[in-house]
Amino acid sequence: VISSNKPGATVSPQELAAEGTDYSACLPFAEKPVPELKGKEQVTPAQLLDYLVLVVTEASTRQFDSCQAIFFPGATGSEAIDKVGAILDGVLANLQEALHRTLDGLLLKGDKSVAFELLQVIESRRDQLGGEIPALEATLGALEARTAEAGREFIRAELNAIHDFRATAKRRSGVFPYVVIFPVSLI
Amino acid sequence: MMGQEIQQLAAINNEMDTQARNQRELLAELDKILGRLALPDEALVLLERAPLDKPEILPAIQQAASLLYEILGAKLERGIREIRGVAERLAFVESSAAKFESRLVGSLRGIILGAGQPTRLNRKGRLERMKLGALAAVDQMLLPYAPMVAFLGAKAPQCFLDLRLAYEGEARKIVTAELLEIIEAAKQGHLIRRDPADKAYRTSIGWCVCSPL
Repeated sequence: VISSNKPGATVSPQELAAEGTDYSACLPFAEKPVPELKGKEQVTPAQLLDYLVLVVTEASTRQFDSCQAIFFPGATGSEAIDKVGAILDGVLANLQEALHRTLDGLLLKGDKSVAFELLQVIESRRDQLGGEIPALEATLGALEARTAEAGREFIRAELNAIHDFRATAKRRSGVFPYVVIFPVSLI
Repeated sequence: MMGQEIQQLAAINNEMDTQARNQRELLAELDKILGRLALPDEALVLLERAPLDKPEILPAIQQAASLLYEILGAKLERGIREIRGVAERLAFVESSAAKFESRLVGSLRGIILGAGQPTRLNRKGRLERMKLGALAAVDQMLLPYAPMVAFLGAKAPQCFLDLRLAYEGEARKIVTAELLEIIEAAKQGHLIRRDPADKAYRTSIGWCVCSPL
């Protein structure tokens, strides 16, 4: 889940600041971290996944402080991280599942080539947040594994399509269709 | 002969005097111990009857609770707890503590379970962040009770766990409902699929996903 009870497994900017790292410039922790899209503004599946990761990160950051103030007002440092992290695990328990369902039922539905865009988003967020927030790393890791599998399925299907494709020099006109749709990142 | 009897009587008298003195000292010591274990009436009334939903009374209740747990945590010499008067006094204080804990947990659970349904985000076609308004309202109401919740954590772990699980359950419902609402809003009004024919397509991050052939 998004926040585990491992030491350091928090998304609280306070705790991160205590470790000597200034994360105020980091998108999820800024004053207004997640933009709100107006009506008719559109997002691609990759942008939506990125948006959802930020929304969840921001919500868990806010909730960390509330849970600490109510349940463990005297706890500090790794003790607070352990104890509050365990409560946050319970509060956010359904979110990883919700993200997985969204990935399978919405983002990867139909065109599987979108998996490569999603992978890039996940890797980018893992680089940005995962190293300092192990729990987010775990969530993104699980999403990455599922997305990578979808990407492999896409490549297998493409390779099979290329293998089965029969073209003759006489009838050929224009580029081969699989060249048009093959993601450039694979070439 | 006579002198011997007088000596025996004197010895018995001395023994009885010592016993009486010991008895008196024991009683005085016992009174002291019982005094340490006595919960003042006003504290008892606060813990057992004072309304827990009035923030202005909470500091007094907290002080009474502090006294109560101080008594329960008192260190007593070996064997003292077995003295009937002490055992009765401790049993009384323990029962007061149990009543208070049950009343407190009931009241806090009431606040948590009264969180209400997650309010719908004010969309108007927008894709918003999680507001978690219902949860923030519960947090705000629970905050003044934080010192007493800490008492529960230290002195009544089972009550604390019940409270924590109730909080997690309600908070989970609110957080999940809002995330699902955001996903649904995105699905209905914002999500577009990449058009494979759009060869110039670029994501906002700026990498090319389609062959520009």
